[in-house]
Amino acid sequence: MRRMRARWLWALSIGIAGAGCSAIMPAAKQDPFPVMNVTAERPPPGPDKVILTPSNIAITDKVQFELGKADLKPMSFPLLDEVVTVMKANPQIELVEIGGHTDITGGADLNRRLSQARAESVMKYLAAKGIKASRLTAKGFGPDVPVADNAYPDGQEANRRVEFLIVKQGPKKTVVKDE
Amino acid sequence: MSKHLAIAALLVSGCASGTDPKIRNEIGAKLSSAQTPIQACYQNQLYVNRKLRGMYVVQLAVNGESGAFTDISLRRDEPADPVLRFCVIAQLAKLRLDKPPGKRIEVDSIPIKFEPSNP
Repeated sequence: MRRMRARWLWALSIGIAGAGCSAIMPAAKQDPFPVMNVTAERPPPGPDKVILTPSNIAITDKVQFELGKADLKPMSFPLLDEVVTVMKANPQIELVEIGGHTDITGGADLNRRLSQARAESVMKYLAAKGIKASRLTAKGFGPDVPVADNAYPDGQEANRRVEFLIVKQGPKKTVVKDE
Repeated sequence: MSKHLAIAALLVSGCASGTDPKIRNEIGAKLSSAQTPIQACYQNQLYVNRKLRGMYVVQLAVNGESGAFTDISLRRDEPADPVLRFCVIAQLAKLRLDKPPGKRIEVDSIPIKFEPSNP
């Protein structure tokens, strides 16, 4: 009897070793890694929905379009007017790429065309408000440059966006002239 | 019998001892190297949402053959921002141990704390 028990224990030991720990044992409690502290400077509080960053003109609201079309919704005019104000106040910004982006729903080619048309709509609006056309370019990326996971609705929402990327800028100019 | 029990205990304790300290240090070093791009992720989103802050607890695996960081997910996501989440996971997915560990290693607790540096 004792001999059988010993054999059983031996077999159990070998089994644990052979099957791998994770197959038999519950996951071992690991010590967490040290906390990675990530800090960054946030912009000052204010009503501004448009913030000039070193690389882009960030907007805290979304540019809205008619469903499936490139027509701007009037509710987005004040937001785009703020973009105009920032560009006029910062003549050192020599070229801004207006990027149109979509989520992955629908055909990719259709989305690329739609996002191109939407970016051009925004460009036309800014130009009509007095920004020189030579400072603007429009590009539709469709679903090709996601910033969030398209597997989730909040990710799809984040991916449907217009961005204002500063492509070229010179030294900061102190004199602001009206265009 | 006590000999067999001792062997069994040894094997079991081996299972629970966790990751090899050397590999753990390498993983830690790789994580540290991602701090700057992760900070850029946070900075970009702070421009859009100045209230963004909170803790992530990341879990991931290191591929035994390639050393690549895979199966990255968040066990805890306080900022709950899809863009920050995507950006951080993309940065971690770029990491790869210089020397593949030879077996898959699972890491279940990498805390990352996001906090504005100014009030």
